Amino acid sequence: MNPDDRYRRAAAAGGVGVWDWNLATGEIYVDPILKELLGYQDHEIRNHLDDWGRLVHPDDAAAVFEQAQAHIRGEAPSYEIEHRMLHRDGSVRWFLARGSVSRDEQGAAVSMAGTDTDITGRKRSDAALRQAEELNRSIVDSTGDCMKILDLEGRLLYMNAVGLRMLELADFSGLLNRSMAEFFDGEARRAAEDALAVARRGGSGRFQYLMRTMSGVAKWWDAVVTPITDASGTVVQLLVISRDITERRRDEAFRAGQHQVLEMIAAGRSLLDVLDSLVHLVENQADGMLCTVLLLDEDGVSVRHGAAPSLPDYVKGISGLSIGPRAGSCGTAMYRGTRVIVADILTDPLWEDYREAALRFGLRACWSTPIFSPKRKVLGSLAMYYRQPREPRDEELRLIETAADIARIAIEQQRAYLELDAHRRELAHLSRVAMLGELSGALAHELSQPLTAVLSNAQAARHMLDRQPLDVELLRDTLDDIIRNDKRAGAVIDRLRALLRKDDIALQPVDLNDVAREVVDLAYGELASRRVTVKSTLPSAMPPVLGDRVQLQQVVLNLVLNACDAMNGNHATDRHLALSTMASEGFVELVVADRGPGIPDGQLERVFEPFVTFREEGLGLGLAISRSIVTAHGGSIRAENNADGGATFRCLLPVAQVEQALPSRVNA
Amino acid sequence: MIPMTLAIVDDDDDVRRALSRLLRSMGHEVRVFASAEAFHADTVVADCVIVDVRLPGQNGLELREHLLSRIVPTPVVLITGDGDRLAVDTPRAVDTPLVTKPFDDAVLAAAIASAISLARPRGELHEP
Repeated sequence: MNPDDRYRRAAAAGGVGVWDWNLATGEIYVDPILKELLGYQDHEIRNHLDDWGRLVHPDDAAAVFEQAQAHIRGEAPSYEIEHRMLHRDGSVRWFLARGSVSRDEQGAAVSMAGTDTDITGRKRSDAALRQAEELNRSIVDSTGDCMKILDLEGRLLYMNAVGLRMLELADFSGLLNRSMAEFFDGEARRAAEDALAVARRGGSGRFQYLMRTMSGVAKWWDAVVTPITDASGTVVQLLVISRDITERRRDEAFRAGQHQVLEMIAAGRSLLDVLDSLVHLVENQADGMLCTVLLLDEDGVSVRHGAAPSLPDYVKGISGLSIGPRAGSCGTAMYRGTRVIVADILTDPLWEDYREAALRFGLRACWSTPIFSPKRKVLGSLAMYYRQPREPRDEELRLIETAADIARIAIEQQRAYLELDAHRRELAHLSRVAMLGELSGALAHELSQPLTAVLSNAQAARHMLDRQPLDVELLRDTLDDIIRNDKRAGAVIDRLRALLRKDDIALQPVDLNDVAREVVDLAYGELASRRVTVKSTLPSAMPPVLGDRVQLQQVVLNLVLNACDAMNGNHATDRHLALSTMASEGFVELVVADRGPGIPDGQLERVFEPFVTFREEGLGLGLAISRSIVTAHGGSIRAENNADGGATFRCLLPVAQVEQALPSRVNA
Repeated sequence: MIPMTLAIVDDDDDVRRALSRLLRSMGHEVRVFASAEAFHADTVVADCVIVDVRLPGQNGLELREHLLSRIVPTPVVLITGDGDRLAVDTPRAVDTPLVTKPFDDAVLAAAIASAISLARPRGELHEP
């Protein structure tokens, strides 16, 4: 191939062509390749600046001319410029023009020659790239999420406008090149670094974190980290898209907290504890918000403290005050029976008499809703306070109503509990009185012994005083006996009083063996008169149960008397009652077995129902009450028929644990 | 009153002590027993036996039966701590004096006299 051809082929492949411009004449040799690139044949464009020059894009013509002149004048070291040329079909092509001037001996410019290179392709991809960048930028800025670009070490390179706004920053220059992991510690930092590591390896990492805005507001974020790769697939940067999940977290926290409060109610925790937890739950839903619950007294007029862990002194100050048409937000709400919204305590007429107190604690806004019983009786109020004057948003009103609802449930539950409590104690008292009737004979007998001793001793002493000489020793002994028996009578009366006592006795560790022995003692009269023989099997070292001694006595007495009654029809020699105790795995079992007719088939459970009796006398309450007492002690009682005749009652009671949390009383 | 030999059968310690002290102070000789069985084990014959209805083992009513059905019936006074109806299951039940605790010494004395005259209608002893 001749050098010309070689050159021609290379030039064509590179889109390069030469030109040579005679500055004096304006003639310009233009390589046919260049004309071809613009869609023209060689002869269609005259080799003169007039023709060739017309193909320069009008917008670039001035610059091209200027650049050439600058070089010709000697101001620019060379001629180099990218400019557009017009293709025959009207489209635009980009040329890179390069050239240098030739001078004569005087230094005057004579001609300029150089090359033009078609760089249309490159220009197009540049343009496309810029367009893509523009598009990306507008996406990044218009998304609702915070976007950050990090380098491979996790240092911040860019944060979008949304991110800046969310964190209340003017720009990210202060954060530039700071490692993102720097902003977290502990668990969150580990999670962040793990996520970045995953993204570095080409995967998608995720973590959640807490970050405060410039003004200190806590926000929760969910971040996804993905790799940014170059054309060859190498990870060069990391993209972090963070979504604000504060709202969602709050909602979840609220739901969980609500669940917890409801569980507290179901578990029978005290009302004040429950209301306290409720208030904390509500306050956690918004920064700077304070919450109180007030209770309305039975008199329907006075206000009482319900819960105010954040405003204890403020609420203490208003306790005892009356509700009314202008009694602050809560007092008015309870009076009217409707929600009362006060945006600014400073100016609202409802707060005229209470303004000072509220302002002293910095309270400005107060929104209160009454708490109603199912029968629309006002039980109290729930209020939200803020330290700036403001109106509530819809979701805040919804929160108040939800919280008031929970407060209602808690208050109603406590009422029901107290009522139930009162009923139970009444019933327990009645049962004691009833049992007392059964015991009266036994007690009378018990009392008659020491009283006999007292009277007989006293009369003996009278006789002794008639004798001469006086036996002072004997007299002294006699008096001693009188005193002792008087005290013995007193002890019986004490036992009587204990049985009659209406209020609840404190819990104590009780030895069931002692209880069994006492009951046999107490019922001796009954047992003897009915010729019932008792066989007691009470092993020593029985672990104590935690309970109310008198109530447990009641249960055992009931079982023993029932057994006696059951054997009324038996022959006198066949009235055997077996009373035994036994310890087994955390429980103590007390068993009373008789040799009566047993319990009719299928009635083994029914026998514990109130007013169910298979005897002629009695109300049929004894076993129902016994079961109630035993259950309240955490135990169980059941009946079974003996293979050899008669019935057996088994009573299981839990052994007292040393660390057991004591309720204040046992209500049965 | 003529001094007699009296027996007391009562399982309550305090009652036994007081009652024996009282009867001694009235001039009688007294023997005390905590149960019917203990009484049976003794050989002394009493002029009158004062028996509590409720006793461990053989009860007062049965002891009374035993005493009254001897060839020479022994007078019995029943004492009781409760006012409950006694099982009227034997003849002579109606006749036995029953004294309710606590009792006045004069009431007890009258009961003893009554028991003696019931058991020994031929009146071998003077009225106390």
